[in-house]
Parts: sequence; structure tokens; C-alpha cells
Amino acid sequence: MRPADQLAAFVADALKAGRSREEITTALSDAGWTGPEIRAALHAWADGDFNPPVPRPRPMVSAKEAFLYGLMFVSLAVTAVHLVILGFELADNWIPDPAHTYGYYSRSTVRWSISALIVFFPMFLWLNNLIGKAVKKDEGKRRSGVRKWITYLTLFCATLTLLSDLIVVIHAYLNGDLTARFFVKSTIVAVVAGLIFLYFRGEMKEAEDAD
Amino acid sequence: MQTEDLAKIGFGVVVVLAIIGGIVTVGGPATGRMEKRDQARLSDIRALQNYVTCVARARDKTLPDSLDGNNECRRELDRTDPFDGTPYVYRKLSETSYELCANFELPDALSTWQRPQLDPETGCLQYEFIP
Repeated sequence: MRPADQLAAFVADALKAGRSREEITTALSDAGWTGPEIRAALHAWADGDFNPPVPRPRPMVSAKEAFLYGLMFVSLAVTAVHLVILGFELADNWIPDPAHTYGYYSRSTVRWSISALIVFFPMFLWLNNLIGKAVKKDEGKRRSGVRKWITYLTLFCATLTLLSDLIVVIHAYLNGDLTARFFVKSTIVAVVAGLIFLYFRGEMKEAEDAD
Repeated sequence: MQTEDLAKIGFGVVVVLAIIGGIVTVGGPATGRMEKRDQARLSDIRALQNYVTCVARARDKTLPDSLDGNNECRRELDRTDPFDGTPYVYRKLSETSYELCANFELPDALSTWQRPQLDPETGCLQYEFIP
């Protein structure tokens, strides 16, 4: 049973058993639930003496949360992708490779990636700040399912990218393709994925105690 | 300081460096305009090349001596640079080769596959006439 379901079941049982809302609040906060979580759990049942308790209509998941986290995830993905594209283009331009006769880079691609970064990186920072503030105000938000999923999804992508990058580097080394340009490109991928990994590792720790 | 903040700062630094590096490399909007003008010049040169080929074919495989006074091929052609008004230069180099020149502003910015025949120093493109 998920924690939120357990909480809902407990509140329902306690109300059925005739416990007062004050008693339930004290018991739950002693167990470590936060104020907003307890209020939300109690609010799920209508006030009044009707027994069994009457449920109030409520949405299943927070659409607002899904919107914010989804947008943050996309912003981060766009930032990472365009950072890598831009880095590759600059590496093609700055590091000559005699074996690649037409190591041509596209000026239009560079401009496109710059535009994407200018839009989506501040967007990511802003959303991250917004979510961080909301979590600080209401510690129960750390237990949000959307937050957990997005965090793990990001970590999953970053880990896969880092591992693939490692395979590509080893393969290139064995194949004799480990040129300066290639090395720089692999480093770019590793730095971007590593930063994301570092960034969300803290969040993973928080998510851990929210299973 | 937390790793999260450190990563955030690192991310910011990388993004800012990439944007600055990108702008330093490709230039701002003024450079973009120059590239667009060069593209227009290049496409004019291409049209002139087609024209020269057409005239040479009509004249039993001899290249014309100049771009003017040829009645064989009628085409709508820009013979002068639409931006600075100087005429494009046509020079016959031999019986089978010739060059067409324009005042390119940023010849290096024309990507390599667009300019295999271009000499960036003179702004001239050399062509062989293949009948």
C-alpha cells in the first residue's frame, strides 16, 4: 500500500472509530507527517457527525505539480541537448582534424542552439527555484510522486548517457579514433551529464526517505 | 556549500561559456546579414555560370569573351552586385576554364561544400567548361 493510501485509510478508520480531528492530527504529527499533509488527509473527509465519514471529491494527482515538474524536465533536457550540440559545433570549428576533410560546422546550428539556451536555461533555473521554494515551505511536497518520478527519470537518462559515453570512448580508443576533437566532444558529454547527475543526486537522497 | 548549488553554478558557467564561445565564433546579427548577402552573391554567380555554359554550348564549345553581347541564351541575370553595385567580373582563363568574381564579405563563412572553387583571397570562383 502506498504511503498516501495508508494515510487516507488511517484517517478514515480513525474517524469511523469516533476519534476527533485534533486527536488524529496529534497522532499523525507525532508519526512525522507534516501539517499540510495532515490537513489534506483530513480535508478528504467532510466535516460532520455522519458515520461512516463522507469523502469529499478531489483530483487524483496534482495537475499543477505535473505541469511544473514536466516543464522543468523538458527545460533541462533542451538545455543539455543544445549545450552538447553547441559544444560539438565549436569543437568542429576550433580543433582541426586532418583526417576529416570536410569538418564543416553550421553557423546556423550554432545560432539555433544559442537561442534555445537563452530561452530554456533561465526557464529551468526559474522553475527549479520555484519548486525549491514550494518544497521548503511545505516539506511534505518532497513526498510528491511526480517529483520522485521526474528525479529518477532524469538520473536514469544522465546515468545512461554517462555509461554510453564511456563505451564510445573505449571503442574509439581501441579503434584508433581517439583524436583531440573526439576527446573534447566526449568530455563535453561527460561534463553535461555529470552536472545533471550531481544536481539530482541530492534530490534522490530526499526521495529515498519518501518511498 | 551543497553539491546541488555547486552543480547549479557549474551548469550556469558552462552555459554562459558556450553562449559566449558561440557568439564569438559565428558573430552577431551583422555577421549574419553579411552571410545572407554572400549567399545571394553566390547564387548570382551560379546563375552566371549556367549562363556561360549555355552560351559556350551554343557556340560550338567556345567560351565567350565577355558576359555581354551574347544573344544565344536569354536569361534574367543580375550582372551587378545588388548590394554594392559593382559588376560581377567574368574572366576567360583558357579555352576551357574561366572565373567569376564577386566582392564576398565573409568568404570563410561560406561552408566548404558551397565553395570548392572559391578562392577566399580574391573572391573568384574558377570553373571548367565541360561540354
